[in-house]
Amino acid sequence: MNGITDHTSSSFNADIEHVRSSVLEMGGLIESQLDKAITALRDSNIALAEEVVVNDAKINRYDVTIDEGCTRIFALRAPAASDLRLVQTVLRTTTDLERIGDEIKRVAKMAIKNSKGAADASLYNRVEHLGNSVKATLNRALDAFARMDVNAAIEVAGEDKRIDQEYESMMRQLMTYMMEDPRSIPRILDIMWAARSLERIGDRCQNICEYIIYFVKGKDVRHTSLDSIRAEFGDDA
Amino acid sequence: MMRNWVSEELSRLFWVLCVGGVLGWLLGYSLIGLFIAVVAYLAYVVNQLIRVNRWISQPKRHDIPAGFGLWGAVYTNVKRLKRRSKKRERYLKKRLAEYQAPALALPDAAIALNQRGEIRWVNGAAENLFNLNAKSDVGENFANLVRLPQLVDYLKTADYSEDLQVTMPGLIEKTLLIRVATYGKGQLVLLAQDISARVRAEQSKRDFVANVSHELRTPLTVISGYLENMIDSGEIPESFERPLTLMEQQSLRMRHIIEDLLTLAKLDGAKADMDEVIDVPALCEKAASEARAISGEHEFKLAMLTQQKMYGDVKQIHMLLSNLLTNAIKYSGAEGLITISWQKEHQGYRLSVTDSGEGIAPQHLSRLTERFYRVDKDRSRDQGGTGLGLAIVDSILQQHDAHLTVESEIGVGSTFNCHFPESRGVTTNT
Repeated sequence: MNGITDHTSSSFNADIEHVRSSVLEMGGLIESQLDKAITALRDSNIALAEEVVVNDAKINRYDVTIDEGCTRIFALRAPAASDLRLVQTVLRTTTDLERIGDEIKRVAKMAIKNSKGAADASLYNRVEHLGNSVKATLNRALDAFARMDVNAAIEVAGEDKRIDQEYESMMRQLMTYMMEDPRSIPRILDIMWAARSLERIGDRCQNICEYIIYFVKGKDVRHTSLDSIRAEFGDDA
Repeated sequence: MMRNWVSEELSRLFWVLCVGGVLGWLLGYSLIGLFIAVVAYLAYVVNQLIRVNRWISQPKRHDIPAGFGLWGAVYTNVKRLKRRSKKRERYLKKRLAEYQAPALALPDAAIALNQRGEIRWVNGAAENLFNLNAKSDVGENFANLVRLPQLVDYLKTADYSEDLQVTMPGLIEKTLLIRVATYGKGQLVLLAQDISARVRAEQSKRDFVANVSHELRTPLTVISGYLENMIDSGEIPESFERPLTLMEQQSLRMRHIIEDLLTLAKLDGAKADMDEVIDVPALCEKAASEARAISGEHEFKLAMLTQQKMYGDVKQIHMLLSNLLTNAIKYSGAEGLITISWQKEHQGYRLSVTDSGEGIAPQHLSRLTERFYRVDKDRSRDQGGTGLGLAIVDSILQQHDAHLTVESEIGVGSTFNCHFPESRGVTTNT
């Protein structure tokens, strides 16, 4: 990563690279957590779901360590310009990743709760499909973060729209199920919560992509429409 | 040739000076004439230098300057040097490509990393497997891009003595076997092989054996149940007595085989919890008394040279001991001596069962733990063994990171040694 951190002080370099690597390690853990949570939900595998719930503590530990690392950089190095942006990006990304971890924990808890009643298989298929889309998005967002690749970030941010649409259509399907058979409402509500959590993960991936654009381009693009981001940064690089 | 140019250049200087001197002398200022000639010559030299410098600093934008005399020779020589280095560059590039081509063509993914874990070089298979780009990802941190927690930890511990098997989630889950070798000053080369097909095949083989065994058990229970009833009823004609007894014996044997197969399938599955503390001497005592009940006529000796306890699965170790003891009883003839010993050895502990049987020929030793392997095909069946006992022993030992060695001498007896690693031992206070 010669372009991202290149300093005359090599220990500064090492510090910054270290927090950046930690974020991606945390990201890797979250990816595997998400994978396990979706598998647990699909196979009604309580043991796997419980493992996910327990492992969430590890993610929280990463969150704390990375925070400390960034604070130390602020205090000792007083970073400026792109370094400052990088540390900010790392901090914000970590916060979002930690929240993603919480959403995954929620999905796993739904898997535990739902394992008793065998719900309609087609419902689980849809949740799994949504989960796989979210998994791919998370993977690509983290790849973009590792490479600090603006074009990839813009592309991933666009993908969130598709996840939202998938979520919407799933909601409509769930509502018809509930109208057909009111006894299924409690179970379907749980599935709804799991889907909602997955959809939220998609939103947070979009946030991460916005931080990447902020770091590389130096412009805060939060609360900006995707089209205007594309128009401004999409073609170059 | 060189000297030739030098003298030519000197004669040119001489003629310029002559012309300047003569012209000046004709006009009455011979010194000024000479001076102007020197300045003109210097101007020519400086001009050439400027052109050379311009060309050397930006060889693509400027042509090689033309010149005559010594300058012409300089240009020709520089041109020749350049041609030679270009040729050499082409040659080196070709050699480098020759060296890289085999690695690029490897069917397995290969990645070279520097001491900071940054990618130096990636082959095509690795590009596909890890979704990397061989050009733009050079210099990126490999762990940042791949992020599999197991793999990241493996690279962090920097202990590559054992290969790593890791599952890579995705739409199609992949199982990778990863090997790492170090070279130079902490650089790594990482090889990853996709063994998903092999893992799936093994899994389906295991599932098949387990399912078949399970499916066979139910009909067999019915058969042996009715056979038992018929024999016990005492109403069967004499001519059927022997066939029915044989059928009952064989169905019982079949049940044992199926039970052993199911045990093996269970052992092959997920790794069991190994946190139980086993009081090995007490367990040996228990197993010996059970064995005594079966045999009746063998002599059993316990040699507990240590009271060491061990971490492991009590049920499995118990099964291991009874399997070894059953074998010892079967093969050591009547009234043989069977010794169970438990002792400390170099880097670990040893649990051995020694019998005074007829011994095993050396050519059989390496194959003893294979399923259904028989040393003496005709005899063993009469003994009623399933042919799976040592396979089960081997599986249990593998679960405990231990291994089996067999010493045997024809006519004297055999010793089955189970070697447990030191890490299994329970340290005092616990």
